[in-house]
Amino acid sequence: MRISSSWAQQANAYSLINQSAKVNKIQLQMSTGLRLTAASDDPVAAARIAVLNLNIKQTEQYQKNISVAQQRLGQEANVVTSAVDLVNQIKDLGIRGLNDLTGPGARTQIAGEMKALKDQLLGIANTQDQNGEYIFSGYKTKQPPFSEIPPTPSGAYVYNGDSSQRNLQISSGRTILDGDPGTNVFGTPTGLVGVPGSAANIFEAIDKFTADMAANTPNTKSLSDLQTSLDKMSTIQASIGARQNALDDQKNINDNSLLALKGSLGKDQDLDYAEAMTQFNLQSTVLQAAQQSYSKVQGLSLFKYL
Amino acid sequence: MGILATSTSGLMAAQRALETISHNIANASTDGYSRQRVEYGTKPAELTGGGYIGQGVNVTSVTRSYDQFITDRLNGSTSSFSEADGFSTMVTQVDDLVSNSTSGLPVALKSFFNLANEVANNPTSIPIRQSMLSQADAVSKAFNDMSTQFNGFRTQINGQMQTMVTDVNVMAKTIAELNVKILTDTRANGGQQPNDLLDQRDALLNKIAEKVGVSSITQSDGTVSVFVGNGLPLVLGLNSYAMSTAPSSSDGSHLDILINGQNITPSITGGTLSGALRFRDTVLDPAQQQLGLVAAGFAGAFNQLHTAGYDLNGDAGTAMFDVGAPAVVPASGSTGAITAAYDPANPGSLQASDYRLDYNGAAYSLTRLSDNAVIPIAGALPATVEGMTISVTTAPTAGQSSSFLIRPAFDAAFNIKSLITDPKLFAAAGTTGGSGSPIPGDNAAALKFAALENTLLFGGRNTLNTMYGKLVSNVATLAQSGQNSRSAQETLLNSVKQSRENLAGVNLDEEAANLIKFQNAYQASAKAVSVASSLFDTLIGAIR
Repeated sequence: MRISSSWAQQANAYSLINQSAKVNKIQLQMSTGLRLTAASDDPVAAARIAVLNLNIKQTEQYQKNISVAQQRLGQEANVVTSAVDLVNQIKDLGIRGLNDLTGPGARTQIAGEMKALKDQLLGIANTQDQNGEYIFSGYKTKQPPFSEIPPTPSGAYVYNGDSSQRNLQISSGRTILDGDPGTNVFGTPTGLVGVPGSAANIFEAIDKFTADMAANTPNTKSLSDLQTSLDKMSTIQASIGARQNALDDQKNINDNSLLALKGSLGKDQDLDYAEAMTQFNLQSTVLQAAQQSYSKVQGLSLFKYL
Repeated sequence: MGILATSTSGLMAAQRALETISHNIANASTDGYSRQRVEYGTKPAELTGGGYIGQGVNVTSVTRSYDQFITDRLNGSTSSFSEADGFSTMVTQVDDLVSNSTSGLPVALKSFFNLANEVANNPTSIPIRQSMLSQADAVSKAFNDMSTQFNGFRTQINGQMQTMVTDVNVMAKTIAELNVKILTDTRANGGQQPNDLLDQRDALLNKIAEKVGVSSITQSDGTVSVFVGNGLPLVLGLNSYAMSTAPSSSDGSHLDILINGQNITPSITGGTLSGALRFRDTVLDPAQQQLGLVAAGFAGAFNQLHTAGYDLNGDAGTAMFDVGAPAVVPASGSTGAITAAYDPANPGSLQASDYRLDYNGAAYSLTRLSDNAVIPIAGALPATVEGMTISVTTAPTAGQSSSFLIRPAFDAAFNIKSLITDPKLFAAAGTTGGSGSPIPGDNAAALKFAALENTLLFGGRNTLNTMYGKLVSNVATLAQSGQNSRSAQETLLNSVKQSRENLAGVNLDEEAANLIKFQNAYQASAKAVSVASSLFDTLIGAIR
């Protein structure tokens, strides 16, 4: 078979170029650590990788949402614990004051302490979070939940929030309520002076109790108002606790999910270095052989011997 | 005297051979060169009493090693390879553009939805709302950027097409000129082939085959005629014709290829020109439609949710994104004016296709061009179908046919922009207390925005991301098959090239051996001349 000199040259040059290109490709893979340098290397895997990446980023966002929810519920739990503590203190004072042996002077003093505690309680009911939102106002978070109806002191309160609760997305199918309306924690105010035994709102109840105490006619029924309020608060505490558990559970589920997703992603996307190194060595050897044989063949010519 | 004449003929023959050999050696690397060899014949013998005495050697012709079959196969393979190569190069560029996973559209969209989550977590935070609005702008810009890149490819292709057409025209003209020269040269010397001119013409034909697939026929007078498309002549004997480009009547961004006024674009096969056309029709335009669909669908779906929410002023939300209106292009000779607008209630019904609205003189009919499906519209306008509302601004002339091209998806990604800049106008709340009485902590609408990421829009089957993912997949698959095709064609081409080279290429060692052979022949003939001379001397000496 006859071959032409210029074709022999070209064919060798092509082969050198091709080997070179293969070595380059492996180098690129090794330097990026990725098996795919472009989607066309493996379109099916590329599509899978895109979906996995999205799911991972989405799950990570859900984890962030969970942190926000945990922080808010944590704050709410602390506030309710403090509130329970304050109401218990007021209850103790009340019991002392109701004792028939306590004199009017002592009762006036007790009334003063109870008022101070009530002011504290009102303050924490109107807690704001770091965004400046009132946590017990439902959706109307720019308004403090409870305010006394003027002219103060009137002993009558109004709830300025609403009954809505905000949802946060913690997984693709699951939301969690990040707070409770003030009326569920502190009772619905009537807007009138509280009636002992049926004062649902804790502030109206305490104000009435304090007024009676200062007037030396405390009513034992006021204690039952305080107890009702404590029961309400402990129900809320249980609910918050349940939600916090749910958040912990979901966080774990999300963590496991992330682990699995990242594992799958690694399988599709990461370069197997052991295999790549072997390929690289092989290709380099082939390239070297091609280069050496090229230079040897170029030296063969009849003209040298003429 | 016989010896002198005979050996002189030997000398001349050897000389011709040596000249041809050095011509071969000099042209060993010339593209398209076919090695030449000298053909010999004996001179007519002279009859003598003792038999026929030969009179020496004649150079009958110089021929080139040539096989028509191989040459035709070479041109065919060259066309196929150039088409695959042109296609593959362009597809790979688009593949690199869309498969970039660290920047670009998917990243911008992801950040957008992450921020929607953050707004849902903190609906009263002004800084977070501001970030959300900036990200909406970033998403629009990402759509715009990618669309601009696609337009850049389109401009590139149109430019390439024009250059290629010009090149082919120049080469066709040269072939016609060579035809003239070859005809005159062949006639002038009684049939001797002008080998170098023939090689030149073959090389030009091969170069044309690189640009566009052609078929060639050698006429009996030695001229070559070249045909392109469905048999339209580019070169006919001694005359050449020119191809030209013109904007397509159905789509102004496309160029058509014409010869003699006839549109041959659909019948071009082979060559880089065909590769570019195939790229435009199977990769670039569908990708642009797909991208536009994602943009229009995203804008429509988001606006639908946003206008159902309430902002921090207590007012209902306004449209967040604007994609303009679908372009309407009347076909030439059409009358009347048609407009189209996106249907804000059905963004999921949009399709990645152009439409043709036909008016047959009395009623309208709508055809979807991606699959030529007829969309029922009860013959009258305005009609709300497929995510758009089509209406008549000026009625076309009755009794006359008119036709309009409607493009809901094509320009959407280029046109999309975000409209809201005031963070208070971002409508995150699901309820309001009336204008001026916002409910700031309400995040119900924001939760829906965040959930849009996973919502099945687009006919209830695809989310935004899977729709974009389809674009990437389509391009990647075409790129992969394009690269495979190119490798296969390259192997085929190399194999044919090798066949030709084996036949017609110069082998320097062979020429070196021939040099020695004819050098010896020359020396031998020269010796015969000197022997003839010494014979003569002897004869003269004998007479003295």
